[in-house]
Amino acid sequence: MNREPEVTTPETILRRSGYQSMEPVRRPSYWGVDLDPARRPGVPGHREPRPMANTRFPPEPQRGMPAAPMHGRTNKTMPPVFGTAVPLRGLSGAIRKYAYSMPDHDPSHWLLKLLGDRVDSWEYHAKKYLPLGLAVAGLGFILSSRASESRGLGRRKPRSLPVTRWGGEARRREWSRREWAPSH
Amino acid sequence: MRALTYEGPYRVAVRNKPEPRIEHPQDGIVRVTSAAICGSDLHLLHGLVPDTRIGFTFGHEFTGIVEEVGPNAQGIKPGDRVMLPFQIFCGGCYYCTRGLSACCENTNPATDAGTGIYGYSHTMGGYDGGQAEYVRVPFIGVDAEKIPEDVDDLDALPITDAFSTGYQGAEMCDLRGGETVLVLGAGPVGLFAMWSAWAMGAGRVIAVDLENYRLQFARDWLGVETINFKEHDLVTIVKGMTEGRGADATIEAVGCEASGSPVHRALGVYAKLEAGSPQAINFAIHATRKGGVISLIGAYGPPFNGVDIGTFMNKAQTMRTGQASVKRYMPHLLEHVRAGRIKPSTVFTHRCSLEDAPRAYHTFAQKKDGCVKVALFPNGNLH
Ligand SMILES: NC(=O)c1ccc[n+]([C@@H]2O[C@H](COP(=O)([O-])OP(=O)(O)OC[C@H]3O[C@@H](n4cnc5c(N)ncnc54)[C@H](O)[C@@H]3O)[C@@H](O)[C@H]2O)c1
Ligand SMILES: [Zn+2]
Ligand SMILES: [Zn+2]
Repeated sequence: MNREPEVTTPETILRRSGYQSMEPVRRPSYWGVDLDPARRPGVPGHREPRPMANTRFPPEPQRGMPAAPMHGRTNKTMPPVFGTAVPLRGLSGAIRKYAYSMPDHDPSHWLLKLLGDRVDSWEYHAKKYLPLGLAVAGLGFILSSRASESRGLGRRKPRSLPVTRWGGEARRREWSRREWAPSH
Repeated sequence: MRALTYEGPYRVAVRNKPEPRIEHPQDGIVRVTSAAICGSDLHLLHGLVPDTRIGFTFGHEFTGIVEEVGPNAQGIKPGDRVMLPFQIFCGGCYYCTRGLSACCENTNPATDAGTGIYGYSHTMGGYDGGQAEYVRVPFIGVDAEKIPEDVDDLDALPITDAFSTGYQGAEMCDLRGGETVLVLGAGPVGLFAMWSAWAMGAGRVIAVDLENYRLQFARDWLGVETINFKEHDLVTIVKGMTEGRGADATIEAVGCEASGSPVHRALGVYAKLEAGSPQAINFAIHATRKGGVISLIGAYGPPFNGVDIGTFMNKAQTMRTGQASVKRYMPHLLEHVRAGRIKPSTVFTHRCSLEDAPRAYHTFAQKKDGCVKVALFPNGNLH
């Protein structure tokens, strides 16, 4: 970066072509309070290492089970402190556990974790709506068996194909593989 | 206790949950008095952060009263009024001893890419967050910062994340006075970045967003210039404003849900085939001058996305990145607040009880009702 930049004034700004703002720029009263880099807490980036206040190091290892397993880099050791929010469970838990068996520099680690998230939410919503779903299915079964009883046992019309929005009946797998291959 | 819980993409609810316990001798338990909703929480809400589990509690910006401390927590006692940096750090590792608390290596088993963060998925360690009545705070003696008597909770609250992040974003631009600084995103993080750019001597500060009410907020509060990229071709306008070159430095405070490219929105945000939309990064690369600095503070996840790295390389730009190492900024930003140079609570356009949080999430996510930022009060109103 240019170490000695031209200092822009509000006047030069107003002269410039693409000026958009409705109001003239006003520099606030606090302008430049931290202009001196020595006032910026993150500058310089590199300084003499020293422990923060109230640090006890190394930390005692936490007991119990981490909710997030350690990712699979073989030379990584378990950190002394970890979270325990929501333990792994169900199918999503199995997928996540498998994802964590891979190191975090492997993209599959992340893609599997995203899959685990989707499965977690399907599992949750399936469970949430299962009682309702069962009730509806049960009711449907009773009604349909009553209806078929009154129509005569077991005589079912062959299921008709759905009507598509192109008018005709949907064709079932009539296309051959070749139709879809690029023509040379 | 009552806590906000994740219920799958686009859904949160407030439910009963067991209270947190001390699990490590340096832990503490904090009774949360105020908690904010952050733009980062929207990435969680929208299912973009890997390993966000159903039943998990969000919230990484909060203040509270210390309720209980473990036997080895030093320098802190029950009753102290504190604010917590959003990340969890040990104070003594390679990174912590160098002030880089956002890189601590002792609090997250799940990945080397980030340290433990409250309420930020199991990828960030699996720690329940602060949008709840109580929260477990590891390394409480090291991490917690006491709030001075004369500073209100709501003025301290943004320092735990948005204000420190904006400040570090401006700091990474290495301003020496007079530069043109472009800030992408006029959300809370972007607004604090604009304030910080002025404080570090920027010659002009230009805010970019697609929400006119947010641009208006930026103009009214901070006196910056504004561009709505839906109404103008951003890069053309910025180059026109800077003698054809582009901004000296650009702060990207948008993150992985950026608008402006339907293709990237479809691939990254909806289909999740790339790690969110990189549109704001691409704006930054094109709107920054050759040799300029891009300060990337918007959040992105692994593993990959479509950044225009070729243009970046050819323009000889520098990119600086990172989560804010909040702890090192706390005393300095408190000094600015106490000196009356900024009133951070200005960003809280919406303030409500924890029970109203699900509604507040949607108002904030959909940019409705003039919402800039939300504060929640899990233990009853503050005043
Ligand atoms: N690095 C860190 O430590 C850190 C800390 C906090 C937040 N963040 C990240 O910072 C980002 C902003 O946070 P926030 O709380 O201000 O969120 P926010 O959602 O309120 O703000 C983002 C703003 O960007 C605007 N926007 C969308 N697409 C844009 C584009 N292409 N160009 C310009 N503006 C665009 C939106 O309209 C919105 O106003 C988020 O990604 C968040 O995760 C990072
Ligand atoms: Zn945040
Ligand atoms: Zn550390």
